[in-house]
Amino acid sequence: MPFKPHALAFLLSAIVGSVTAADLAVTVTDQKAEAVAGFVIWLEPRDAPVPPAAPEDLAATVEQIDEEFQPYTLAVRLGTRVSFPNRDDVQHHVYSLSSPARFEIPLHGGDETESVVMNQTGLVPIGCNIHDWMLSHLVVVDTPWFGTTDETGRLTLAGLPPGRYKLTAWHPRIRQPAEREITLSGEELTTVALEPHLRPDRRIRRAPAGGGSRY
Amino acid sequence: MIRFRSFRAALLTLILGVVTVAQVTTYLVVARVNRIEAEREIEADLTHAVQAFTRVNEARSHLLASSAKAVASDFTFRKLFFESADDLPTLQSAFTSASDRINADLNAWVDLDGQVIASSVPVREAAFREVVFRADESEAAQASGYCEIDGQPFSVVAVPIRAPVIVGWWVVGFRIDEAFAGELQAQTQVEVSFANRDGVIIASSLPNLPREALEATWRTSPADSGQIHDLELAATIYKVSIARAPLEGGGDIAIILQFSLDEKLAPARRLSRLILLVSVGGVGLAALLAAGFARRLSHPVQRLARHTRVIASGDYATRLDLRREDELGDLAQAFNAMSTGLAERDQVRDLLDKNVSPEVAARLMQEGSGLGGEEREVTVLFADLRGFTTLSENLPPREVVALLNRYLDCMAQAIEAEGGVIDKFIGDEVMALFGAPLAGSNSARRALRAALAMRAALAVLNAELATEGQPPLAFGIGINTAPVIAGNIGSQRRRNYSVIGDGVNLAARLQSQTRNPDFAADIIISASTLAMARLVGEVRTRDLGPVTVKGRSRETRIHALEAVG
Repeated sequence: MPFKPHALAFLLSAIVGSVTAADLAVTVTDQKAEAVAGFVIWLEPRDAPVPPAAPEDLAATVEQIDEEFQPYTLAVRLGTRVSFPNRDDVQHHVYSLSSPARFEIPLHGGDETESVVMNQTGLVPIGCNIHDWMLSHLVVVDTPWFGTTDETGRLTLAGLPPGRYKLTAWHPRIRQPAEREITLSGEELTTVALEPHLRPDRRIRRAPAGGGSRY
Repeated sequence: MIRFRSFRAALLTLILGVVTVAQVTTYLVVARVNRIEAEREIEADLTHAVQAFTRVNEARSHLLASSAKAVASDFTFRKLFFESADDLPTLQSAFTSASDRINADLNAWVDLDGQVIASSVPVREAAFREVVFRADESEAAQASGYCEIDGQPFSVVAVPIRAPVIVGWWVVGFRIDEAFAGELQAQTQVEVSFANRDGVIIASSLPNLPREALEATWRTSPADSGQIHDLELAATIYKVSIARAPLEGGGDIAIILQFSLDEKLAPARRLSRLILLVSVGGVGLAALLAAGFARRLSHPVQRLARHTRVIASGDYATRLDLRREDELGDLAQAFNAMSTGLAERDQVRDLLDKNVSPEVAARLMQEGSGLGGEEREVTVLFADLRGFTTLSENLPPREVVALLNRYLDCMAQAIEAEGGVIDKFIGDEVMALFGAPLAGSNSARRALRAALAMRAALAVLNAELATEGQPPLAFGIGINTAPVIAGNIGSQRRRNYSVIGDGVNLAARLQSQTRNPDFAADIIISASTLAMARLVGEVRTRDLGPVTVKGRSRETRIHALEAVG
C-alpha cells in the first residue's frame, strides 16, 4: 500500500484534534455600535497546514430571487463549484470581472442552473448586466474555517484545533481586509470583537416601479 | 416776510408757491421711492441669479453624469476596462469612442488611486484626484466640483464605473464660458461674468464697453463676496454680487452677477417724467386759477377803495353797486350804509348847525317840517360864568381857554344828560333849549334837573380847582318856559336852529337877576316854568316875589330853585 503522508497527517491531527477542540465566537459591530451582518471571516492556521477539503464541502449556491442575489456575501472554499440558479421569471445576465474568477452567464433564465468553479482565492464580485443593482460578493479562501456573521453580528466557529491562526475579516464596506493573529486554546470559548469603521454603502438603488427620477 | 405791492401778486405767489412745493415734494418722494424699490428688486434678482447659477450648473452636471453612467454600464466597456487595464493605448482609444457618445466639453477616466488614465483635455495626472476621492467617500458615489485647466474653468462631476463594484471613475464636465454666461443671462436677465483663479475675466455676458471696464477693475481690486455693492462700468452704475466656487487644487472662480441700475430704473424714470409733466401742468393750471381768483378778489377790493375816496371827497350820495353774496358784498353794503349815515348826519348838521344825538337826528329827519319856522313852547336856559374875568387876568391865554372849555364841557354834559340841546356858547355863557327841536317829556322839569346837575358839577369842578390852587368859579342860571318862534335862523350861507321871542329875553333877564345879592340865588326860574314842572312832581323853591324886568310892562313872579323831586 503506498504511504499517504497527507492522510496520515490528517489522521494524526484528527486524533490530536479530537482530544481538544476550540471554539471561536466573533462579534462585529460598526462605528455606530450596530451589529453588522454578512461580515466574512476566515481563519488560516499558522501551526499546521490546512486540512484538505471534502468533496461535499465544495458546492455553493448563489440564487437569483426577486431580482436580487442571495446571499449578499458568501465565503467558499477554494475549488468550490458555485451554481447560480435563477428563480425569477425574467432572465439574468450574471457576470464577474475579477482576477480570481472572470465569467459570464448571459441571459439565462427559467430554472436553468449554470455553475462556475472557483479556482483562485480572492474577492469575486458578481453582478447582473440587465439589473444594475444586483450585486453579490464571493470570498474564495483556502481554509475550512470560514463563515459570515448573522443578523446579530455573530459568527461561531466550532471544533478548531488549538493553535495560532491568522483571522481575516472582510466586508464590501471596508477598504482592506482586517487581519489579526489569534491563539485558540481548547479550554474556553475565545471571543473576538471587531469594530470596523464602515464606509458609505454605495450600492445602486433599485429602480422605482414606474420609473422617473427627479429632473 | 416779503412785502407785496399788490394783493393779487401776494395771492398768486402764495397759491403757486404751495402748489409748486407740493408737486416738487411729490416728485422727489416718488423718485426716491422708485430708486429704493429698484435697488431692492435688483438685490432680489441678484440673489435669484446666484441660485439660478447653482441650479443650471447642477442640471447640466446631472445630465452629463447620467450620460456617462449610461455609457459606462455598457458591458463591452466594462470588460474592456478590466481586460485592458494595463493596455493603455487600447484603453485610451476605447475612451475616445466612449467620450464621443457623450456631448461633453471634458471627459476623463480616473483610476481608483485618483490618477488620470485618459482625458479629452490635457491635464495633470492628479487633476481630478480630489473630486474622485470625494465621490469615493459619498453615499451616492458621485461628487462635483470645479477645475481650472490652462486658465479655463470647468464644472465637473465624477461618476463611478462599476463592474459590478467600482473599478474606476468617469469625470465629465462642461466649460464655464461665454455660452454659459449667455445662458444664465437669458434666464435671469442678470449680467453674468466669470473670473478664473488668476483674476482674469474669462467670460461675460456684458456688452463690450462695460466688459472692458470690468476687466480693468477686476484686476486691481477683486471685491469680497456676499455683499451687494455698486460698481461703475463705462459710465453706468451696476449693482454687483459676487459668489465664489472653490477650485480643485486651491483658489476659486468668481461668479460676478451685475444688474444695471439704469436699466432697472428705466420704467421708474418714465413714470417720473410723467409725474413731472403732470406737476408742471398742475402748476400751470394752479397759476391760471390763482390769477383768476386773485382778480375776482382784488377787483372788488379796488372798487371799494375807490369808493372810499368818493366818500372822502364828500359825495355821500353815490352808492357802490357790488353784487356779491359773500363777505365783500357785506362790506359794500356796509359802505353804502355808512354813506347814508354820513349823508344824514351832514344833513342834520346842515339843517341845525348843531350836534344832536343820533336818535334826535333820526327823528328830525323823519319829522323835519318845522325847521322852516314854528311856534312851540320851549324851556330856555341861560347860564353865565361869574368871576371869569378875574381868573383870566392871572392865567396865560392857553390855560384860560382850557379852563373855560373844561367848565363848558361839564355844563354841556349836564344839559345833554337831560335831553337838552346846546343852542350856542356866547363866550362863557351857555344857551340851552329843552323841548326843541323835539318836544320830549316835560321840558321844564328836565331843565330844572339839568340846572341842579350843573350846580353839582360846578361844585366838583371847584373842588378840583382848589387842589390845583385855583380860585373857585360861580355861575348864575335863568330858566323860562314860554311859547317862542323856533326855526333855522340866519343867512343863506350861515344858518342855525334857534329860538326868538319874549320868552327868550325873559330867561336872559332872569339869569342877570342872579347877580342881585338880595336874592342870594344862583338859579332863578319863572313862574311858568315852575308851574309846568310841578305838573309832574315836587319842586322846592324859594319865592323871590314879583319883579319888573326890563322890556316888560307887567310884573313876573320868580323863584329860586332849591331841589327837585
